[in-house]
Amino acid sequence: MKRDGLIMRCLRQRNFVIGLILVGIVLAAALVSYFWTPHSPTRINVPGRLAPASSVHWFGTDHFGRDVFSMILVGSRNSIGVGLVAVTIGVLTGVALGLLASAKRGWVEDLIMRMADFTFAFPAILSAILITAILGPSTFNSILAIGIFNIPVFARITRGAANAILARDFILAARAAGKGRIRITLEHVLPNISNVLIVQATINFALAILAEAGLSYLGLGTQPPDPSWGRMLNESQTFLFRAPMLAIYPGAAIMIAVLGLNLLGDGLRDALDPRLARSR
Amino acid sequence: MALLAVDKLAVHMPSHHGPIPLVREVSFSIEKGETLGIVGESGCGKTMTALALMGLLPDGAIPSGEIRFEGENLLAQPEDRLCKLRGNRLAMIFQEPMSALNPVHTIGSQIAESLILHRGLYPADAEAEAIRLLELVRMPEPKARLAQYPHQLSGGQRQRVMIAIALACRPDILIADEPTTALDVTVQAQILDLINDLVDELGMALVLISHDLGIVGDITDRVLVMYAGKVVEAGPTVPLFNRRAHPYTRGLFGALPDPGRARGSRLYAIPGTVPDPWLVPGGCAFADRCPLVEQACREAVPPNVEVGPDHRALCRRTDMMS
Amino acid sequence: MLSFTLRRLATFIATLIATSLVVFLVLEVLPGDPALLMLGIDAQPDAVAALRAKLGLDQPPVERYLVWMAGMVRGDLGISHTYGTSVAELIGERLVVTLPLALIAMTLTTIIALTLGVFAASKHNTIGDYGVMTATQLGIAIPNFWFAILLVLLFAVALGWLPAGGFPGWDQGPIALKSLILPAFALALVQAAILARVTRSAVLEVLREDFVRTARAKGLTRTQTLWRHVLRNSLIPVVTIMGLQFSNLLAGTIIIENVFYLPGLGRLIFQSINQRDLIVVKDVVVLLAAKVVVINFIVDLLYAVIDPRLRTQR
Repeated sequence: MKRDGLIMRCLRQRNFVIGLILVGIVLAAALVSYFWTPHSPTRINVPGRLAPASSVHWFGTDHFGRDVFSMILVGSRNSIGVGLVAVTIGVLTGVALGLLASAKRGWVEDLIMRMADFTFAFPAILSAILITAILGPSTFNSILAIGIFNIPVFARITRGAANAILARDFILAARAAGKGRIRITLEHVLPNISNVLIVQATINFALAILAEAGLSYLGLGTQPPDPSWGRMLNESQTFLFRAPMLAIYPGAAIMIAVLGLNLLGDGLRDALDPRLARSR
Repeated sequence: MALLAVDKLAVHMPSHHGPIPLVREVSFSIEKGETLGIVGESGCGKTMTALALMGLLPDGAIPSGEIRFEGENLLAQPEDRLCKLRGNRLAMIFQEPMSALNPVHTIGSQIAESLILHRGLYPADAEAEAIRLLELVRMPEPKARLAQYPHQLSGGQRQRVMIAIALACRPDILIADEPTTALDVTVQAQILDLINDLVDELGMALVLISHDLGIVGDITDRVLVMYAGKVVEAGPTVPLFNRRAHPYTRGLFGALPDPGRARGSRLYAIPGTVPDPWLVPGGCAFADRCPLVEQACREAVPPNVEVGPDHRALCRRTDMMS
Repeated sequence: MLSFTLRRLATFIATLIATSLVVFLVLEVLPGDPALLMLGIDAQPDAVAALRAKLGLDQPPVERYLVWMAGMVRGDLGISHTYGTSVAELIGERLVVTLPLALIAMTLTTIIALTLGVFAASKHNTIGDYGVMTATQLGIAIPNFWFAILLVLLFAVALGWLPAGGFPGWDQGPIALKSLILPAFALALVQAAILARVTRSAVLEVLREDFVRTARAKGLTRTQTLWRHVLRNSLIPVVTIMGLQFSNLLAGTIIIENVFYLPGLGRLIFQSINQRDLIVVKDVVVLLAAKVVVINFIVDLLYAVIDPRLRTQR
């Protein structure tokens, strides 16, 4: 009953539907790329470099003669993969820390929150650059760098929402029934804050894709020959005068993914929390 | 010609279920210097009526009928014409002095604002006039107040500032919407006295809106009793208070706390609650709560019966009420 | 006011110490010998040893930290290994580009965001509002370096109005300013989109307040009410976000200065990190932390300017 209601409520949100379609396109691109691409995204063909769009090369070719459409398709895997793993790191660690803070209170809470504040106050991209530059540029290290800066976001949100739940009457009832803190946290708090977390995870997924693109653009993300949208943009810059379209496709792909996730998050929030939606 | 003549004023709010009537067929008129009270429970349409007079209804609300100010139908006037009248010829004070003043501007600038706007005064002159206005509303240390902010004043002082703002351009009509409800009891009396004196002194017409019959009885010449958006009884204050021709008016009087009654004994209150505006029954809106209700009351709109000179009640059973 | 200032100063110093400690520790704990990293894996062992001695790496960590801090107090930020000049001078040189860039970007952000936000709120639930909301939704989704490239495509490649990159130096006057226009817009876009949304919702919130009705009852028009009474009351959340954005702006310049080949602080950080010029990295990071504290202080002062209720609470 409730589940049906939620899906229907989501589908009535225009933002959610548009977001779903855009994210669906990106996901489909990633899935399709595992089975089929028009050409090999890594096959170099220097004589056919910087070719304009044609029926053979739908988006043309880059400065090595690689097929841009195939690179865009395969590049989606990279964006989705890095974003997904980074946000998962952030959610798992951040939620655990946030729940710990709100269950233990006292100095544990203080310590965790001060640490979160400190990380938060620091420009994330700078720290990410620091980490990837020192550990060496690679997909794994960019995931790590982005993931670390998702932790304080989720720790803060979890603790705030959990404290609000813990102040409610039914928690008192559960405590009176003799349930321990850990049990109350797992049985009552976590299910009640999952909505907030899902919405935030969607938004941060989008931010992670942007961050990954930034790192790849600087050459600190995924390394060649694996295609990534950010690095494609970097490489396109040298040939702006000769092949301007090379700078269009990867950027548009990033925008579609980020826009889709943001809209999905907005729509979810409106559907999950009608009170919030009305007050906006 | 009356100073203000309201004819069949109605206010509707559009909704998913069609327009909701908030005010229905309200008619009255006020002469220069006259005072009119509008009483009723909250949600009866008093405030909406007042806001309609000012042309400040909430977004979406649709007024109809006529509001003639010196013969000019305000509902047909463009917004810029209303802006010239508001705060100049028509002024209003609100219920909440706490939130009705802008927290980031000084008292002085908030009073001076309408003087600069309507009278074209220079800031220095407007400031001098603001001091005079603060003296008029009997604010202690008026000069020192100019540079203060609303949060530095007490509730009663803030309401004095609101009155000073309203009186800045010496309006012809002052509309006071529950001006004392949010204040302490002792302060209430001071503010009411002040309003009463100023109305006499300046010869303004006053529309006083309140749920408190005592306040209305003290100050006003005429009273409208409103229920579910309609005027159910209207007449000169003294005869209306004596006769109480509508059962609802009786109910309101019964709901007055009686100083003689022992503490802890229950007040007489009208049973039931005001119907929601979208659920107002056909026939008499008060039927469900009326002790004298009969079948006919539910079937047809009650007649507007003349029960005395210039005194009418919207009830088919006024004969039972003497 | 005095105790307020003192408390602020204490926070300032505490933040700087905390940041310097964290940066020092992170660089200490991370794997790899800094001297080896700087010189490359195939460096001669005696060259590495010489550099280690020069960097003071043969000293114990506590001593090295204290030496660094003592230098910082004297204003001596050390000598950059790669540039061979004093780090203080280096930072000064780069700030001359980055600071004007950041200020122009922030000004653009504020102008665009306030105009769009107030406009959307005043046209709440109409085409204009939906238009602004859609535009800002797009703005948030566009990576700023892509927007930068698009700007170059349009204004440098297609129209030829503005330079595609590089910075001629301030002695060139207007041309120097011209080369900051595109980078500033690229930085401002995403920020303005977010800030416009914040402004819109803050203005909508204030529009529901009672004093708005009082202002209208005085005879002010909707527009007059909006500018004289609503805007200032809605500025608190706007200024909060502006502070955060200004704090993050210098980080944003890391990417944007790379797009436009500007010799600014962002590019200095990036290059120093890549070249393992750890002295520069440490100093710049502490500088950025100091900047965050200063901005927070300015934001607090602005709160008091905006809202008199926040003045007495000190």
